[in-house]
Amino acid sequence: MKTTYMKNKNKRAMRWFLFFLLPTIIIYTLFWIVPIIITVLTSFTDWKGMSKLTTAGFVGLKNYISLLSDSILQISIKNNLIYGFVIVAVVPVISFVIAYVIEGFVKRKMFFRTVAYLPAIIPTIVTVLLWKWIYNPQYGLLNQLLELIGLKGLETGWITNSTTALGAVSFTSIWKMVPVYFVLFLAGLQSVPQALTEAAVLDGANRWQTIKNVTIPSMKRVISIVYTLIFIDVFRVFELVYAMTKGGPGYYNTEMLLTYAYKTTFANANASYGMAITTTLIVLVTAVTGIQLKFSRRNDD
Amino acid sequence: MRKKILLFLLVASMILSLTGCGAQASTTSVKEATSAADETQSTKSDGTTVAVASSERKTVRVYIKWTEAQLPNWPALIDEYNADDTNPIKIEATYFGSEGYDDKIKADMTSDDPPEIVQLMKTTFNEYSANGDLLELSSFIKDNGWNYNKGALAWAGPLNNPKNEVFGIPDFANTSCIFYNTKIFDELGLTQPTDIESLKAVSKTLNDNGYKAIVTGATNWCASDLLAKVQAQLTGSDILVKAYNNEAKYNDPTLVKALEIVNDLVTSGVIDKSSADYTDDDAIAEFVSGNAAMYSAHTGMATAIDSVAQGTDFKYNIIEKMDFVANPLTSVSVTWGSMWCIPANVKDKEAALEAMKFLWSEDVAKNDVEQLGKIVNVDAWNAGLTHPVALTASKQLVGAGTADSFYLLDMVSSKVMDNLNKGIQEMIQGKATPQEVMDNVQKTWEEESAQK
Repeated sequence: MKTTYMKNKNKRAMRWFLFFLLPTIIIYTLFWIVPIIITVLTSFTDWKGMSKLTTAGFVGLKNYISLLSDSILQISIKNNLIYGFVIVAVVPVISFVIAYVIEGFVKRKMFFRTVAYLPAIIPTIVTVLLWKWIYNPQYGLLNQLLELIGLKGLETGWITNSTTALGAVSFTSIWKMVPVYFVLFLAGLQSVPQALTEAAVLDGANRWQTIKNVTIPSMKRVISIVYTLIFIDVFRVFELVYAMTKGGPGYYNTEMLLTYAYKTTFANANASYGMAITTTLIVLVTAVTGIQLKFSRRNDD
Repeated sequence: MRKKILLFLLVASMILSLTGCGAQASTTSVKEATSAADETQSTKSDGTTVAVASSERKTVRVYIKWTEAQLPNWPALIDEYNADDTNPIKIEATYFGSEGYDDKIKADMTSDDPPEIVQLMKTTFNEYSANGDLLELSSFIKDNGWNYNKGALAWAGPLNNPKNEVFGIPDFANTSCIFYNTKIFDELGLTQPTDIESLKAVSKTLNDNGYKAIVTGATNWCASDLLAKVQAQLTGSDILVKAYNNEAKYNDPTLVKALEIVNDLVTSGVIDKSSADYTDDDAIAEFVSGNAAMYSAHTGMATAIDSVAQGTDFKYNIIEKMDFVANPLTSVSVTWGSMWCIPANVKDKEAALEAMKFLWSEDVAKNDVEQLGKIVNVDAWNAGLTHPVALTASKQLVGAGTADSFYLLDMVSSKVMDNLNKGIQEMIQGKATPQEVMDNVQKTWEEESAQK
């Protein structure tokens, strides 16, 4: 009798659960799943984006074959990988260090947490304007600082010089991304059992040993999430780069996969080819993220 | 239970608000469609261009890439036209500004009810006209007796245009030029250069006196204006058409030679290398502040110079005659800024043409000349120009605009144009030779052709 009652109760709960989930499912399907399906299907056509999609012809794998010999795409992949390597190497470390210092050594925690989080709430376009001013060759803050400390010889147009542009863009990205991941690390640090840390200290572990053997292992799940999100962010990078350099200067020195896909689709009127780039990116990110999650689950087990 | 009811109400309100958004949009569409239908019917029953009651006049939508501030005289002109009930249509101009405009147009051009008139930049215009998406206008221009100068309509169609069809009204003439600071030139007793040798001599004097000679915005496409002029003078437009149609190559020796002339100006200190880092705003700041005596761009940039120089005693003009090669094929390199077009699938062609007849009539063109300082493509209508730059440029253009004077960057695909601009920036930075730049352009074009 009790089991039947529980079953009915569960059924009712499930119905309500689905009912409340419905608006999200509808929105998600309409604005996420359907566009992805359209993107994938369009990548097999010759649609230029200047006529109705229904007029497009099927071209099979032509767009994907063209990808193999696209020199700008190769540069974009290379840039994206360099950018990704820098971001993956730097952002988690700095985010963790800031979170660790604020959580463990600072008195006015709330104030510093807020200050550290500020770059994350500044809209990307404002960030771009701010950093474009800092990097400006004529009146930029960075060049003025270099002049002040006697390094005038290093002055340059940081985002207009082919050699420094990718580094300058990566630095701005780091500045913008660190606060986001700092919050995740902060939450992770707060969930580390204090008893474990205290036990390690009592056993004579120094600070580095405590971090290495207690704090980091206790935050494995957070670290795994951080790396997964950063990996996705790295390949999703678009608005910051596009607004800052439009993929330049010179020969595509900051061109990323998405900025190239955007230009191909809209500026160069080759929508189906742009969709092929996007589809490849979706597949790549999904596959790597899947593998990463599988490994992190195995580690958790 | 109470919580569930509250949640239910919340979800219901969310769904209703979503439905509401949709309903609002479709209500507007229905309303517009209904009114359009009524108007079309009345227009059809009345013939074409007879006067009808104000409420029955068809509304013609004009999509403009510029902001209202860039066409400050138009709202009043359009209001005046709309207020006159004897006019057969009403004009509704929407000023979008450049941000997102091309995407908006793309979406609307593929709809069942596209705007009647759209402003297109030359690169997108090339694609639309090649796709057959635009209405042919040569007989319309002829019927109106608009005497456009020779070069203006030469490329008013796709780059493969054997029938010389015209798919848009060219907006205004925008010529590649070198601006110069008249005060610095007077102080140093310099006369305007007329050829490469005199340009180098003038630049040396300027450099010796602590001035940068020419600056340009190499991070944008203004640096390419100079190449456009050299190329037009050296090779004309044939080679560009052939390269576009894969009958020649962009790394043809003549095009490489044109870029070598520009590179020579860089290596000899005429074009200051700092230009590689400049946007046009930066270059204009250098020019107006007096750090640089010349600025290479196109006449359309005079507005930007004026706005930076406002409130100062800065005086400037453009160099009247500059031959980069001996016996140039043409003396000017000119573009139109944009084209005004009618989508081929427009619902009411007559109404669209009626609006065009007014918006590019002699009256409006002359108003543009006087109020905006625009150089229009009918020479006779340019009498009202007052700005020194516009006056000099319009004098250069009389009888000089030919098919060969057409602007290089409007005769290549967007991707090739982007690649060329990037290459020129690399060249100014000393990281690529002219040959490498043009080889890269050709490679990009070959890849793009294969992709398309």
